[in-house]
Amino acid sequence: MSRPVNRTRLLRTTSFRLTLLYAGLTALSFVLLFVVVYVSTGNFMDRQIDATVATELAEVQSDAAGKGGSLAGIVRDLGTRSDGYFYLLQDAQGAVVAGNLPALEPVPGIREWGGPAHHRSNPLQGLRGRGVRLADGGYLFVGMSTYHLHEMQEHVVRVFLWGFAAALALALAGGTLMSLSVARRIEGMSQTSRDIVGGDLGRRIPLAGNADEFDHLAASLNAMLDRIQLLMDGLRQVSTDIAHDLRTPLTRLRQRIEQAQRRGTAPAADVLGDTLRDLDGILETFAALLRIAQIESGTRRAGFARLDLGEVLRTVLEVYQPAAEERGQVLGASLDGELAVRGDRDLLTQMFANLVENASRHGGAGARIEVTARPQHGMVLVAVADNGPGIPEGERDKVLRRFYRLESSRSTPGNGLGLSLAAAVAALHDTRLRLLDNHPGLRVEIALAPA
Amino acid sequence: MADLEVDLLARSVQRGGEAIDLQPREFRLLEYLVRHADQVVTRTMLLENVWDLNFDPHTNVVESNISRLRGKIDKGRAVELIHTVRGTGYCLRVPPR
Repeated sequence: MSRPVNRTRLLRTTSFRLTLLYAGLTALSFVLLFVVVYVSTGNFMDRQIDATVATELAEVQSDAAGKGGSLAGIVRDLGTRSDGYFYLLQDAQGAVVAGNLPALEPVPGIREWGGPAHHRSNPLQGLRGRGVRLADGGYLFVGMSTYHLHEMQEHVVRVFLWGFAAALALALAGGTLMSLSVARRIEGMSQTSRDIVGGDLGRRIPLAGNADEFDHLAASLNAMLDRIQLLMDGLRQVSTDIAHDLRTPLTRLRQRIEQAQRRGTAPAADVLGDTLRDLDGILETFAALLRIAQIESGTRRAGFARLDLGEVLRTVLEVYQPAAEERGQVLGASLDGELAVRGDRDLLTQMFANLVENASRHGGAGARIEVTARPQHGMVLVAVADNGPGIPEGERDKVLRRFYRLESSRSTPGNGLGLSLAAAVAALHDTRLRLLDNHPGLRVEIALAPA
Repeated sequence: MADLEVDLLARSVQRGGEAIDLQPREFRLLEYLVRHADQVVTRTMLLENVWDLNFDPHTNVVESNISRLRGKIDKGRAVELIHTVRGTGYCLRVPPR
């Protein structure tokens, strides 16, 4: 099970840091939004008041003109009953003639006073209006209380503060939850890694099953782990096989030397000869193993060049002709068309040599071995076929393994590496050996990329 | 060498003034022996340089080609030029009298 995620670890997680960053950005945008809203609503309300006041001012003046110049009467009248509006009429000396405001400095234009707060008891403390100089030197002012404006702005501030707090709390809580869930998934992965490091190679990262990016990553990592385990198992298998397959010849060698020693005389030439032959066989097995390892490492790919496969095959045929004749076999060939391919000449020669040698060794006396090569479907198709006993279908994949030999051919010479090496060469050339039934016999096909 | 003449350019061989017809591989084999005259050449050297093989195919391809070459070059001659060095390889040389 995954370990619980503790607090300090949580604070250090990338997702939590991202959360904090986003919470900060959210707060910043909130503040910006607030400033814009606050300032623009203030301006809007001010303009609204200005427009209303200007209209009222004009109306008062035109009313007075229409009724015969009694401005003082109208202002007095309005001042006593009009709700929300404030009026002031002063004479040229600055004395209040009418209205519901105390005397003011007679300054024309828009004027405002009073702060947004502390005016609940006295609406006069927050006032915005417009004053005009009258023709007789007097001063007329019409204003409106800014109480509602300020109250609204205060309300906006309150709403903003609550919203801000709620958004921040939500962002932090959501971020924490998200970080926790991410941290838990990551912790699951690191726990699996630690288990694997600890020796439990079979462990795999658990999937949540919701096909998210973590599942995707976990699936990729699991596939990699599967591959690594397969390779490790292969390596272990090869080591075991090497130990097993080399023990027999080494034991035989030891016995022969022991016997010669027991006889007490200088070993006869034939004993030495047999000993050398055994040693050569062992050395050859090692050489073949090293060669397969070298081929599988892929380093030889750098030396790929254009080559004539026909020439390679003719050399192989020539070299194995005597051996085939010795066994009373017929080694035939039909090489048609353009057979230029890209590859490693030495390795391809060795591969086809191994295939022909294999056919000759296991084909039996009097077998017919046929090597054919021709361009087909944009590839160069080479086949080595014999009419010997062949390989049962279930065994065909296995014979490509190192040291694997059919029960029926245990007694024939060979180290069980010939086809493994051929398969490794094929893999190096991005292709593979296809083992088919030749009715009867074995037919090995390989398709190589043309140069 | 002795009465053996090998023309590498014309790829022709004469012994005692008599033209000898060689297969291409036999000619390459003889050419290699001539170039390493009086030296012992091993089976591995021959496989590598005459057949371009860097592994031993375990067939008697070298032996059978040597024996065919002997049949054409040395058979019925007073002086044999191709010698087998037991356990090591072959050598092309005029034997000391």
